[in-house]
Parts: sequence; C-alpha cells; structure tokens
Amino acid sequence: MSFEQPWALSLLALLPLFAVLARWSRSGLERGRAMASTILRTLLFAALVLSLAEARWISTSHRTATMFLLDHSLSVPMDVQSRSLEWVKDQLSKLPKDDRAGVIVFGGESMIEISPSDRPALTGPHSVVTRAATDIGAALRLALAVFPEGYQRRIVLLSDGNENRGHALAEAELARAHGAVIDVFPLRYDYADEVWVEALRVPSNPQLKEPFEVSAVVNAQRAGPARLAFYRNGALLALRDVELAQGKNVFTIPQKIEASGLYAYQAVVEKPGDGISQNNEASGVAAARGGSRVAVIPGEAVDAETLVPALRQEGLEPVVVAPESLTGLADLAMFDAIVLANIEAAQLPAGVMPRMEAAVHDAGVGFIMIGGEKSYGPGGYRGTPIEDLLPVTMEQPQRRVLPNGALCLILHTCEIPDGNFWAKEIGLAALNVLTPYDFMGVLNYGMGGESWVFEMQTVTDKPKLANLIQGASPGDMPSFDATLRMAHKGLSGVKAASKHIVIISDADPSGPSQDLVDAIVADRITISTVAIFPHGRSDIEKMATVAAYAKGRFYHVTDPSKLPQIFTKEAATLQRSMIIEGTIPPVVLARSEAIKGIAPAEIPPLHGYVLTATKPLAVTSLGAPIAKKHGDTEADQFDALLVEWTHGLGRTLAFTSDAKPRWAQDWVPWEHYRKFWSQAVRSVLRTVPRAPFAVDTEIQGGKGRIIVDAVDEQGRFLHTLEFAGSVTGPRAGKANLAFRQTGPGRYEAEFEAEDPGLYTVTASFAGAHDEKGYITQGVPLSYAAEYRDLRTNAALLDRLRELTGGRRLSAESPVYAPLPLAAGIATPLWPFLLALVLALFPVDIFIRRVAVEWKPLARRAWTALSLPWKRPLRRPAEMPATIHALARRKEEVRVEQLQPATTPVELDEVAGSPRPLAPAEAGPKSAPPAAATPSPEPADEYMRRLLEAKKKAKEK
Amino acid sequence: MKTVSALAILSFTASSCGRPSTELSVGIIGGPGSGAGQFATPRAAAWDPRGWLYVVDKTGRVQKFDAGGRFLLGWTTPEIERGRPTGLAVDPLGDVLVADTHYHRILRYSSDGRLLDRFGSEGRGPGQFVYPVGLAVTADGTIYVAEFGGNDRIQVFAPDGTYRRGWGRYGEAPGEFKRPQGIALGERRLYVADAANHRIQVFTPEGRWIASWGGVRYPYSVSIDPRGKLLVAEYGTHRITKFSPEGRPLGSVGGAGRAPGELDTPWAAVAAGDEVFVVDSGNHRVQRWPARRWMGQ
Repeated sequence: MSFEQPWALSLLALLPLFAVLARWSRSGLERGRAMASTILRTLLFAALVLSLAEARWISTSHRTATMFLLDHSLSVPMDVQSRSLEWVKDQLSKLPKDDRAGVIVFGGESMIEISPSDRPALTGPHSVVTRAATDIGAALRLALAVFPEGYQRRIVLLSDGNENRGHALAEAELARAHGAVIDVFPLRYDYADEVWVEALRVPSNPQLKEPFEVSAVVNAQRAGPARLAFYRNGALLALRDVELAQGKNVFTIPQKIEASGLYAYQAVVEKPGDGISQNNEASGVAAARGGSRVAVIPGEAVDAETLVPALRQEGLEPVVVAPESLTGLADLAMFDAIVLANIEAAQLPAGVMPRMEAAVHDAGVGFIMIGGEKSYGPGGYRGTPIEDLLPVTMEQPQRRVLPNGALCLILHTCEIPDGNFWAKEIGLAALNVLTPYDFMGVLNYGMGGESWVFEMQTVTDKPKLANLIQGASPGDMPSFDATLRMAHKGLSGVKAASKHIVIISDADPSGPSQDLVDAIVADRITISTVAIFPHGRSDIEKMATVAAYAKGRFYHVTDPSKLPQIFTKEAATLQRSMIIEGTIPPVVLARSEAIKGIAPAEIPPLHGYVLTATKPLAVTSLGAPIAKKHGDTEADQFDALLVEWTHGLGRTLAFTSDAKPRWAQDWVPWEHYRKFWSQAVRSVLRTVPRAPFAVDTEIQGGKGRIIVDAVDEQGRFLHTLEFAGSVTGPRAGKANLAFRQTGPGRYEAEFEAEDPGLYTVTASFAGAHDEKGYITQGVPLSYAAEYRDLRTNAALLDRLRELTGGRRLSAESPVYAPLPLAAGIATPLWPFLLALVLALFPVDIFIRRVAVEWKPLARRAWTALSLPWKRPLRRPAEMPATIHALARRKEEVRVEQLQPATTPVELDEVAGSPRPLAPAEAGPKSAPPAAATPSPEPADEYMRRLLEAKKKAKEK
Repeated sequence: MKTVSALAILSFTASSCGRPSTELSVGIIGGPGSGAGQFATPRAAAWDPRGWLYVVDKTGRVQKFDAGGRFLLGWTTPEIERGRPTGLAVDPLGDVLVADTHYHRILRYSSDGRLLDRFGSEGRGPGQFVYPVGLAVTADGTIYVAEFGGNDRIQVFAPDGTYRRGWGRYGEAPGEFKRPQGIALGERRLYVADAANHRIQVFTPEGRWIASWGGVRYPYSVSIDPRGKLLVAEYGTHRITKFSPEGRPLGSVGGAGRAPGELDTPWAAVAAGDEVFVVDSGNHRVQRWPARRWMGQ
C-alpha cells in the first residue's frame, strides 16, 4: 500500500483522543452499545484518514512497455538511420500480446513518433526534429514521461552515443530510479574517407606590415590528395593541391597586411570520397592595427561622416565598422575605443552587446555612445549590457514628467517551432525596453479563448509581468478580430501619449474587419505586424496591409532569433518622448578631458538630446538647463549632455546629443568640433597594456578551454597573477571565468561551448609585482558538433546500460526478453473507503439511537427459523408483559378517538377555529369526556348531530 | 464529533466530485504520435456510410479507420511544407475529398488512398481559393467548398470540379462570413459554421440566406445526424452542441479537459449512425461518443 498524501496519516494520531471523547460522550448508553459505537466510529475515522491520504494498493504486473529511441541526428549516416528504422519496424511487428511499444525520434530535441500502443505501426518517421545536435538525455526524459502505468519499462536506445547537448547519464540515473531498463543498440558507421577542417588559426591582432601566418588544421581519416583553398574577405588567396596524411595536417600560408582593418579568413578543403561537406570549412578574423584604433559604428553613414574625418585630422585612427561585420568579429578588445553613433540596439547583431561590455569591463576598451533619435532609450538600449556599461541609465529623470506610451502585444506563436519559447523571448524583450511610466498588456488565445496574459497596466513590477509572460502558452488563434478588439478596448482605457499594437503570427487566423482597424486608427493607435513562417503570399499581403494602413511597420521573419530584436525596436518606438528638441545652450558643470582648453562661453548651442538619468557615481560635465522648480537642487536644473565614469577597467562616456548636422548643426562648423571629439575619444582610450602572453583556446566535446602561458620579457614564468575575465558565446550572455594555475606560468579556465558560433574570452590580470594587462582571444565554433564526432561513442552507451541493468543489442538480439523487476500497479482505494464510511455511518446512528433487546429477538429469530411442526402456537399469555401492556393501551386510545361527544358540539369546534380553553368546571359544555367504552351510536347519527349544530349556528 | 464526521464526509465527497470521471461509454481512437492510428493534432474527419472513418491531422496524413476505430490505411498529401489540410468529405462514390488548405486546392482520393484528381488554385477569382477549409457533397456529387483568408465565401462545383456558382464575402451581415470553417448539407438546406462571427448560417443550396443563430463560440464544424439534428463543434468552448434544424439548442456535451468525454479545441464532430466521432484536436485523438450523450439535456 502507498499513499499519495502521506501527511494526512498524521491525523491518525488523533485516534486515542477520539476514543476518549467517544467514551466521555456515551450519554448513558449501556456498555455493550457504547463499545460497539466507539469501535465503529474509530473505524470510520480511520477510513476517512486513509481516504484523505489517498491510499493506493500496489500490485505487480509482468506486462512490458518498450520505448524505441531513434537517433536522427546528422552524425548518423542516412543509410544507418534507414536500417535502424527498418529494425524498429520489425521489432514492433513482433510485440508480444499484452505488451505495449512506442517510438521516439530525437536529435537536438525529441518527439513522440508513436505513443505506447499495443498495436504500434511505424509508417514514418513523420516527426521533424533538429538534426544538428544530439540530446540523448531529453529523449530518455520524454520516454519516462510517456510510459503507461502498470507496465514494466524498457527503453531501447538506437544511437551513436555522440551526445553534444544535455546529460544522458543524469537522465539514466532518473530512469533507474523509475525502474526503467535501458537497452542500447549502438549505431555503428564508418566514415572511411572523411576530411574536415578542425580549425583555422589566425592571429587576432597582427601588426601592420609585419609578416604572420594563417594555419589550417585539416583532419583526414585516410591519406590522399585534396585541394585546399584560403580566402581573405571572400577573395581567393591561395589554392593548393595537397597530400593529406591520415590524422591531423597543418597547412600554413604567410600573410602581411598593409592597411589597418578587419580581415576575415576562410579555409575550405575538398577531397574525393568525402562524406560530410558541412565540416569542410572554417573561418577566423584578424584585425590589423596601427596607432590607437577607434571603431566608429554608425546607424547610418550620415551619423559618422563628419565625426570620422575630424578624429582622423586629430591623429586618431578611426575605423568605420558596419554593424553586420561585427557578427564574425571575435575580438572587440582589439580596439582601444568603440564609438556607437546613433545606432539602434536592434541593428547590432545578436551577442555583440555582451562582447562589448566584456571588452570594456575586462579589457579596458573605451566606450562612447553618441546620441540621436535612435540612441539610448529610443534606440532600445534599456536593460541591455550597453546600459550597464554607460554612465547613464535610459530611465527618465525623476523630476521630469514625460508623455508615456502603451504597448499591447498579440501573440500567435503556436505555429512556429519552439513557439512558446519565442513568445516568451518576445514578451520579455518588449517588457525590458519599457519604463515604469509606460503601459503594457499581452493578449493570446488560450484554453479559455482570447485572453489577457496580463491586462494593460503600468510596467512597475517587471518581475511579476515577466513571470506572467513565462507562464503564457499561446494556442491557435482562429481570428484576429476578437484579440484586436480587446487590444483596442484595453488601450482606449489607459492614458498614454502614444499607443501601439504589435501582432506576431503565421498570419493564418481570419483577418480583422475594416471597421475595427478604422476605429483603431481613428484613436491614433498604430499597429505593427510580424509574419513568421506565413503559409503563403496572401498571408504576407494581409499582414503588410494592416501594418501599412495602421501606420506601423511590417516584418517578414524567417529566422526566429531575430524576433527579440524586432520587439525591442517596436517597444522602443514608444520612447520617442524622451527626445528633447529646441535650442539648448550647454552649461559646463564639471571639468572634463573632453572640454579641456575650451572656454564655456565658446560652446555653441545644441538643438536636441535624449533624456537619460545620470548614475550615482558618474560625473556630468555638460548639462542642458531646464526650468527650475521649487525645491530643485543645482543638479536638478540640468539634463545630462556629457557624462563619464569608469566601468571595470574601461572608461565610458555618454554624449546625449548627436555629432552630425542636425542637433549639432552649430557644432559641426565650430572650430573646436575636432578638438572636442578627439579629446573625448582620447579620454576613454585604453590604458591597460595588452599582455604579450601566448594564449590558446580550444573547443572539444561541448567544452571550451583557454590556456595562457604567462612569461615576461626576460622569459621568466609569472606565477603570482590573478586573472579575472569572462567569455561571451553565440547564444548565452556573458559568463565569468574561473582561472586556475596549472603549471609554471600556465593559467587555464574552462567554459561551456555547445552552440556553433563565436566565443570570445576577455580577461585582465594583476600580479604581486605591479604586472597588469589584459588578454583576449576569439574562437569560432564553425560547425555543429554533429559534424565532428565521427565515431560511435560506445563508452557512453555502455555506461547507460550498465547504470540501469540493460543489455547491448544487435540486429539479431531478442528485444522483448523478460525484465527482472515486475511493474507496480497502483489501485486507488479511496472510492472503496469512502463507500465504507457512507455504509457504516447509518449503522453507527442505529447503534446509538435504537435499543435492541437481543435475547427476545434471538428467541424470536430462533422460533421463526424453526420447522413449522415444531413451532408452538402463539398465545397472548406468552406475550412479554411490556408488549402486552402496550397493546392494551393502544386499543384504549383507539376507542377514545372513536367515542362521540355526549354534549352538543360548538360551532367553533366544527369550523376548526380555535376555541378558548376553559377549566373543566366552567359549565356543562365542558363536561368530562365519556367513558372509554365503545359507543353504540352509529356513524350517521353522529353526522346528523353535527349538521344540526351547524344549522343552529347559522340561525344565530 | 458528529459534526466533525459529517464535515469530513461532506468535504471529502466534494473534493472527489472535482475529479474527472471516466465515462465508459466513450471510446478513444488514437493518441499523440505519428504512428499508424495515432494523431498529431487531427483537424478534420469524414464518415463514409459504408462504415469508414477518415481523419486528417497536422502531419498531412489522411488515415482510414473502420467503424470500430481500427486503423486500416493511411496516406500523406503531396506537399505539406506550407501547411496541412483541414477539411475532408466523402462523395457518393466513396472517394475522399481533401481541402488542401495551404495549397489552395481540393484533392480527390480513392478510398484506398490513390490521388485521382485535384482542382483549384490560389486566387480570388471564381473557382480559385484562399484557404479552403469546409467541404460538403450532395447525393449527386455536387461539391460545396467554404474558404476564408479574405475570400470568406462558399463556392459550388460540379462533381468533376467545374465551377458553378458562389456567394458570400468577408463581413458580419447575413450572408457574409468571417472564417466559414465548416459546412453541412441537410434537407434543402446548407448550414455554415461561420466561426469568427460565432454563428451558424442557413442557406438554400442555391445560396439564398434563410436564417442564422448564435450562442456558439468559434463553431468549427457542423454535421447532421440521422435524425436531422445539427452537431456543432465549438472550438472556443471545447464542446459539441446539438441544435434542431431551426436553431433551437438541444444540449452541449464536452468541456475542457483531457479525460474521456472532455475535449481540447475540437475541430470537428461527425455523426455516424448512433455514434458521433469527435475530433479532439488538442488531445491528439478522436473520441467516439454514443449519440445518446445529448439525451436529457
């Protein structure tokens, strides 16, 4: 027996008290009945407690449920997959009677192809899974979730064992705890002639005009001729016919860079007989540098076209970097300063912002954000790593009351892969951008139909709203009409200066009515639409038309990873109210390197800026005066124009106006324009030296490793260094690194590296003898691990089966062999216990309320059961005295009721009206009742007299 | 003590009432999965009076079952990349018509799954489709098709797929539609499940509007039982509601849940003699209900 709610058993402790109470409240019951009642009630109480504890009876079963787990990841060749599929089909056809079997297909994710069935038939596979990864653990977990109750559990894992996501061993422990056995069928294959580029080694920061080498590490399973090509920035650099030896081969080309800039290298190998083409190339980036290098990243060309020449004329070496080129640029720390010039956060590729923050914090890179209508809050930087590093926040200053915005999201994401995940990412991205003064609401279609995930409300409690978004599970929306109507109503009910709706969908719900869209537009509410994986041309047209009509933007998205950026941008459009325009005379509030040598009176006016809030430790050196209110301090009289502080090792500066002929139209022709900007940039340039240490990074088996050999100029090992740094990967944000010394002058740290993409390690160090500096290294993971693991990982598969007592199967092995452990079948007992309680409850009442004389009853029962000829004749004299007396009295009463009154009947009495009570001696009318003898008077005589009395009364 | 006992019993009984009860009279066909006889979000069904049930699901498979729910055979529509079919009907010859919604066409299969014919293309002209979803076939083989996605109309085709006539447009007025998801032919009547208008509309087979009634939430299909009553699958309330031909509600059965007899976003309910096959989409199964489930309501 087991209990679902074992806590309820603690109520059994009340049983003694219960017995005492029962004894105390006997109410004069005789001993036998009292005891019976107490026992019965104790029984009732115990049954109720067991019911509350949800008692279950456990019995055993030898029926078996078998789940076949089919590895469909890319590392398993197609012909091996086909053979394993046929084998599973064959096994399903041999399923013993009373057993069940099902199939799960897995790669990077797992899907049920066939849920456990007694007649499984595999016609597919129809399940579509991510093939670029292998997550055996997820497949095991799913199998455990779908096993039916009351069956022994067997998992048959058909895989090459090359997991590169999840933790199969941990899930196998769980399987063992659940009594499941894992049999493994190793999928063996032989990439006999596979060749792949393991790495392309490119120095991160080659010196200008200095020779360096680019090396390709090519791995081959079999020796033979191959062709190797090197490319630089897409142009063919070298094409070589090479002879590959079995194993690792290193090919090097000499390089020299004449002009500073970014150089993307690529190596591609081709060999006859090669199987997998996806692993035939690798890439790396070199950033050649001259003097102090400054990366200027403008939103549009105009944002930098006056700034860059100005910097150059002042002896700096600015490089204009297009945001998209940052995707493959591992080493942002190669720059001494980074300048973002009026660029939206959404324009920066995913993963760049954490890398910038790490470069500033851990490698001392300087950072400047120049304002404009696409910067700061309106640029969508709220809550980003850039906001962390800047000396200002994107919040509006407390004293400023600004027009706020209201955003309503309509989520229909169930039709896209990982739809719920993306719905959450979208919601959180938008939530992140809004201020506590803004309103936000989220709508979806759930089990109850169209519903608010949360209604329109101010974004004051972001964690609560984030939790609500996390819990959302958008379903398939039949029509946009109802949700748009709700959004319209919700937005109409809030006071906000700008109101905006964003719809994301595959666009197949029925469209909204024209009247509704007209009403929304009439209320000055804008609508943007995001079509993700639409079903066809008409869907795209529909979404685009709505957005154009409602003055919003339309996005056609094919890559879900772009969605958070889009929603950041959409939410940021509500922040336009943070832009202040007019003629603004800047006021010098503190000394700054940027305005050194410039007289305050010489500074020309600006014509606009973005509102920000200065962080507590930051210094505002230029301010924009605002109207003074009563009680304002001196600092309250200015909005920030130029603010500086230190973030980690780096110096950062925020200039909230722009540097182009718009807000800075009087600055561009100003004689000190060049001076101001060159001084501003120089004030943040990195001062920490780059360490000349040999740094090596490698990624293997989902783990990255950085190895630093710290040797000083005299060739001595440095033993006392303390490293602090971080790694930024392609998907996850920044993760801190824990360095440890592993040898003389050698320091190592590890990090997780499962996703293909760029990993950048940035770290700084300090030593006991004033050594300080930074290191930085980027390492690209060019292709999925699926393409690197080319042999069956039998060791992992064996470990999984050993943990759970399973077997290693081959094509001839019988799958359905008996399992050692019988399965437990749990039968709930609460219905029976409750029925028992309901049945015994009346018995308890009977015992306490009815006194039964058991001896006479037993005698009568005996008599009744006796044979007729033995049964004595019943005689009145033999009746018990009490029964006899009762019968006699009953007869007397009956006669009394039949006896008519001897005196006339009053009318009141006949009519049924109440008659005043009178004492017996009041008169003849109240004569005592007649003797209790049967009346000889017939009934009709009695009725006649009644009628006469009635007549008499009427005459009166 | 009496009070305590009574309270305990009452509270326990009350808590027990909240549990889903298994209705033995309800049969379950399939379950989640892509195996034979299993479903991944089934979305339409059609009953062939010869005793066969056809179901199409979100893998693009049409599966054929016998009256007892035993899987017989299955096939996949030619293309499924852009989306999967959401409408089914059986014509008098026993051929299976499939509304290949996201390819804007109608496919005709033999009862053993051979593709015989196809008609329609994407567009707004006569004989063209945007999202065909509802199908109904008369005794003489005339095909009625309901579509949405901007067209929101009913079109009528000859048995060979030749366009004959059509009516309706997007809107809320009588005779207009917002996502006419399901249609059914009764005695000289065409019933349309006008989903996003939350109503059933009634027309003559020629397209003359007769009546409409509401009281339903996202009706996704309409079917007519042997007694001429209408079975309406309400996607929005997770129920199947029965109506008289005049629109008088006769009872609702179902409700949101996973237990037998409960539903999750049902897309269709198909009358089949004394039984009703309910396409319980969100639960990835088809339920077989006795028609008497609506008795007494």
